[in-house]
Amino acid sequence: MVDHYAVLGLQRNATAEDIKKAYRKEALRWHPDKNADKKDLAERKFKDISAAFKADVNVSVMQLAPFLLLMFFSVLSSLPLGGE
Amino acid sequence: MGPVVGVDLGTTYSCVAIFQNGAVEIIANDQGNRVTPSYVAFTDSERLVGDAAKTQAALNPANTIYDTKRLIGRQFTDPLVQKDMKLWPFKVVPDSSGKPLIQVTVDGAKKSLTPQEVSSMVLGKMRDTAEAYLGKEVKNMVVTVPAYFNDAQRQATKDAGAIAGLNVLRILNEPTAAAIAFGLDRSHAAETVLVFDLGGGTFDVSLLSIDSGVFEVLATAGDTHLGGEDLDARLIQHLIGIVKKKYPGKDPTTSPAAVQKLRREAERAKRALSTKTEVRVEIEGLLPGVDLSEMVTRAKFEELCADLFRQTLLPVEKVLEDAAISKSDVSEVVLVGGSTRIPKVRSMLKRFFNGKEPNTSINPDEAVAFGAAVQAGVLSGERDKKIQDLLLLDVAPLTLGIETTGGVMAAIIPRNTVIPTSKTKRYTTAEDGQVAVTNKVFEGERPLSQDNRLLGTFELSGFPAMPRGEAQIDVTFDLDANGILSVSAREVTSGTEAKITIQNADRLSPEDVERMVNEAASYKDADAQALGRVEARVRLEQYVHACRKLLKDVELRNRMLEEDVLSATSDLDTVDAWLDDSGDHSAAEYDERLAELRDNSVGPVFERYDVVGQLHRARVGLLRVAAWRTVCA
Repeated sequence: MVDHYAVLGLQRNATAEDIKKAYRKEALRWHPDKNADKKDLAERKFKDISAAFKADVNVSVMQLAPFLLLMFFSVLSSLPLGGE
Repeated sequence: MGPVVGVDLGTTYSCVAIFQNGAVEIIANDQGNRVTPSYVAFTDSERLVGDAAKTQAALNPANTIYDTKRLIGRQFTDPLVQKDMKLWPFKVVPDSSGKPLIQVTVDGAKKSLTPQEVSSMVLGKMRDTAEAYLGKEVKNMVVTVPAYFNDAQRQATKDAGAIAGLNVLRILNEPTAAAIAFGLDRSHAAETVLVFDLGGGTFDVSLLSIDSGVFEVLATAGDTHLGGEDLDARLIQHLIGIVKKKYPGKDPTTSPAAVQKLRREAERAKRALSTKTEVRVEIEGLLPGVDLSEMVTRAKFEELCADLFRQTLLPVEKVLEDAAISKSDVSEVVLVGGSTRIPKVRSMLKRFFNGKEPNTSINPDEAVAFGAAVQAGVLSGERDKKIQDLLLLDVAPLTLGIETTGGVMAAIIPRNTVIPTSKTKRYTTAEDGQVAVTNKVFEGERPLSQDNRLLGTFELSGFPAMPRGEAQIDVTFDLDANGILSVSAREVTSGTEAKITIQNADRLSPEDVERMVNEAASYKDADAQALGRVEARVRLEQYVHACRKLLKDVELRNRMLEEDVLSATSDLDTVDAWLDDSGDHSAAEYDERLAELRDNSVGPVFERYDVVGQLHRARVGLLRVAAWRTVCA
């Protein structure tokens, strides 16, 4: 699984506010609008960053409830074909 | 890349702006107006766009087109199209695939235009306006659309740009553009802003967070068919009712010219009611023997439109809910679009936000073009400290998905997902030996796909036959920064790229676009011809005028032989009569007459008195008239 924290350049103990800040910083760096010279790479990076941010917001909520987190992963691993 | 301009392509008015030297300029058109009516008209000799087209609308109703934004990307059978058609004086017919076509008469022949073509003419006019101001060719544009426009409407708008020979660098959401206009020069801490954009024909609400130059759209909602035009329509219906009651047996709807007059006066009355509490609507000779003179109060207007006003609060509630933000967390409610001048709209919003005064700091007519120009600056790589840290993070307005078993819509890209985005879902085959899969792509929020809008059907084929459930087909939805979707697919076990054809009934094929580009170019030729004609005529008029002025010169008259005066006057009269008596001549004919005057008749006469030099002075002023005429054409 992709390490969403690494994608955003964050430590595991980052707060929600840290995550948001990091997301905006990375988005500004990699948004295709800001990288006319390397659009394809930027677009790939940006999509990763956005996906990581979305996932992180969810995961950071789950950290408060390890039980939920466990369930989440067990459900995930029981799926033969991951959705994405 | 050359200059990149931002264009607000509105239902009723359009506006163009450019970011240069660290500031945005709204560019006035040849009439000196900062907004241009989104009108196109055809007369027997020329095509008119903008102010010139709107001015003559009541005289030429059947050939004056407007409101194409209400047609673009829609089907002819769309109930909203059917409803709008009742009030349009121009004719709309379906083409063979069910798309609407606008029918006009040009040079006695019927001509059908797609909404894209008409919009392309308005975009072309905005380009001309920018080129005249910048003195440079303009090839690139950022064009705005309502945030709630769907895929087909976005694509069609992009096609309109292509038909005008323009490269649409970005389709930008109108409320997002307005948010930039609001937030660009604001040195505030992070804030949450709700943009309420009620324009001429469309309505959007977007909720954004603005934090040190990053404009992040949190949620967006709206109604692509709600705006000032609908308020006008209520007023028109009201007035028609009054006429019918006062003059039994008379029906203004049977006369396109009468409807057009009513439309003009209804719009005027509505505007006046934003500052006055009552206004008299007067139309003399609405129909033969029918004069209208009626007092309309603000209270009556509000009553006629009450349900429409109430409707505007639903998207406000929806974005707050989608973004999980409470009313009290909204720091500013920003008003955009001409219809937000209506006191009732303001008071309703104020009440909804528990007494918070709506923010009217930005120009409601120009803010969208302003923001588009800023984004154009960002995309053109403009090096300016004001925009180097500016970033827009916009979202998909509608959920995109695929129809699954039982007609259930399976979301692949949920609404309010940040764009650009890619999502991949894995599918498999349902039958042994199956070598093709057909899928339907929908957009919309309803759980059953039949209630959503079909975007297209795609077929995956070309992978080897396998037992059912063994094929692994990755379908990737790719939504670009314009909010336009493309779909690709790959069968994983065999590694074959599956072929995908999106058959989208609403999209123009590349061949269509090319044909229309060529037609647009032919208009350019016709326009150039008209320009040549007007210029030649003006040259001739100018020469005649200068000659007459000379003949009035006392000093010269005293020197001139009476017979020379008479012959010159008679030659000039002949030409004037020729100019007055008939319609348009070709440029060559005007030039021929001019050469005749200059070289054979009056020219040699004046030469004898050594005053030919004076004939060339009046030119400058008259050429300005010529330029004015041509830009209107």
